[in-house]
Amino acid sequence: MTDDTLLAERLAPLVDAPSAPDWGDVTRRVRRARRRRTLTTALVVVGVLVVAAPAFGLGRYAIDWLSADRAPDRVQLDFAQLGVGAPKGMDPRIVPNAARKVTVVTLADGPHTLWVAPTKSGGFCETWSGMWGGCRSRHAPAALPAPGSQELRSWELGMTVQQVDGATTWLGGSLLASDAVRLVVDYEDGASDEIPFTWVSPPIDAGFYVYEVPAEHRAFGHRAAVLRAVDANGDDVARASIPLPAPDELDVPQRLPDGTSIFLPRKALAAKAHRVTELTTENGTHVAVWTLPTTDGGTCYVYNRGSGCPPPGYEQTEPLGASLASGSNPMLFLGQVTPVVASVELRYEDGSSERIRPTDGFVLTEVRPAHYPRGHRLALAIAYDRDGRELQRQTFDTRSTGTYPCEKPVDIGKGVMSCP
Amino acid sequence: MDESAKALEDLYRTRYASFQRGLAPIVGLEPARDVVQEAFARAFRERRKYRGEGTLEAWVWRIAFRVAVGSRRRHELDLDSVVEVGHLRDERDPELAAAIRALPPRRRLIVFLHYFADLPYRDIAEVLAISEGTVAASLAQARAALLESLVEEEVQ
Repeated sequence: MTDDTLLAERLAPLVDAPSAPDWGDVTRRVRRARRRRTLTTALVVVGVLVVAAPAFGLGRYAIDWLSADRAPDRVQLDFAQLGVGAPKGMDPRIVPNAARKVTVVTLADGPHTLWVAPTKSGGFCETWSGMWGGCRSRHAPAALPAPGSQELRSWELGMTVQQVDGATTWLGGSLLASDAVRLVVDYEDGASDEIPFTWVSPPIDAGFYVYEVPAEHRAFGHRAAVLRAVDANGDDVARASIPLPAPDELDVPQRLPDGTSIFLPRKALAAKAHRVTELTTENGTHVAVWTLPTTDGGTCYVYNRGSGCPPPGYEQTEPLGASLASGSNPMLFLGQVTPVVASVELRYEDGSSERIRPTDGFVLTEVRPAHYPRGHRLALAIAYDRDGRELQRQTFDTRSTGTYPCEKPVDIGKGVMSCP
Repeated sequence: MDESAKALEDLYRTRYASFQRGLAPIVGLEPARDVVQEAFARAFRERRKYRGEGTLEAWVWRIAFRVAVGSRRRHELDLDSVVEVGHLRDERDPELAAAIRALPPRRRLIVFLHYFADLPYRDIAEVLAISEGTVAASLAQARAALLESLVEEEVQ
């Protein structure tokens, strides 16, 4: 008898025999939670109608920013941490000590508080406790219609969705369109619902909403499809399409030819997967890139740290499109290249370099632990054609925190622990 | 029923006992049953969040620990706090039970996951977000400590 077996036998009596499994109880718990969610949504809507006076339309409720409760220290710290470690130019420049509590909404899983903080650039950051958070600028991207133009201002309607089985279960976000008096969600089956939203006075000057989609609108053919902001004349002023994945785009558990189990869209034919390239890293991890045909004529790819399914007919325009699978050991460099690319050179900060050759349109290599410290990191990838002519350069940020693994994370500010 | 739901049901039916035994030393046998049921219910509701990074069982174990510590948010999960309280049948082997309680919390949790939940090194590593090597080293150290307690017991 081995030590391990001996120990296992001695340990076994320390815990009683388990009870019988009951899958029916699990499914009942799932159904109970769904019923609670539906009921709570109805109660929340009724509650809002009772306690808040509509300011403009049926679903718009006004909050005076200066009268709102100030956020406690822990929330201010949360906001302060949002900007810590942000890549250059992406720090939202929050004013954390100006954060305030805007509203509380109770969903099926409990109450969620909306905290909002202004930014130095005139925008704001929002966090819904236990849900999500983000920051918004007031400057529309140049390619989009400017505020006030006659075109629908999609930019002014921010939306975050959670989807289960291809249907949206809740959606929420913020609204910059000050002339909007109603927020409406349209369903695939032609029905619509109005979503209450809270408008916060300047300097925030924006509306906020969160909405739990009723159970009857979580089935194919009945799903939430479009969100619209409507003005006092009944005209749409902003509109956002809600993703409506087709049944064969939903992820299902699949098995690659080597036995690896992974969730991939139903349309990906895992049994026909082709192993494109593989390597073993310094710490002994086996890494493989696979491509899989799809039922609609496209191709998916999958490797240890991710997967993707470009739409059928998608053609890569840049010669090289690469990224770092970062944050933990091993760090991987994975890129897709067009047929004109004969090799890709990786240049590191310390002057060292290596050249890798594509296999079936992919380049894969490990960024070795020797390149984790600052001063040694990957700085540049250069794609060459077969005559050695340079086709494209792709630079990599060597200064952002949390990209490269380390032995011991350090405080990079406001108590945020990360690898430098 | 979709395939991810089927995969979860299959996992539940084949591994229910291991989940309950793995959690029993931490929360007690009966509460462990409730934690397992709630963890699978929550996993069922949130199954689309599982992206195939790691095994399905390791993912459900993480949910189970969140249920056990009453946390809904991933970043609130402090696994070291999970094993502060032990529920063992001490009277059946007092020396061994005492030796387990004397282990550092994280090492004790690895023992529970390996010996009571029958989890392989790889899954333990995924659940605890550590390397397989760390799992192996921790288990070796725990095993040595526990065996030493048995030897001392025989000598006495």
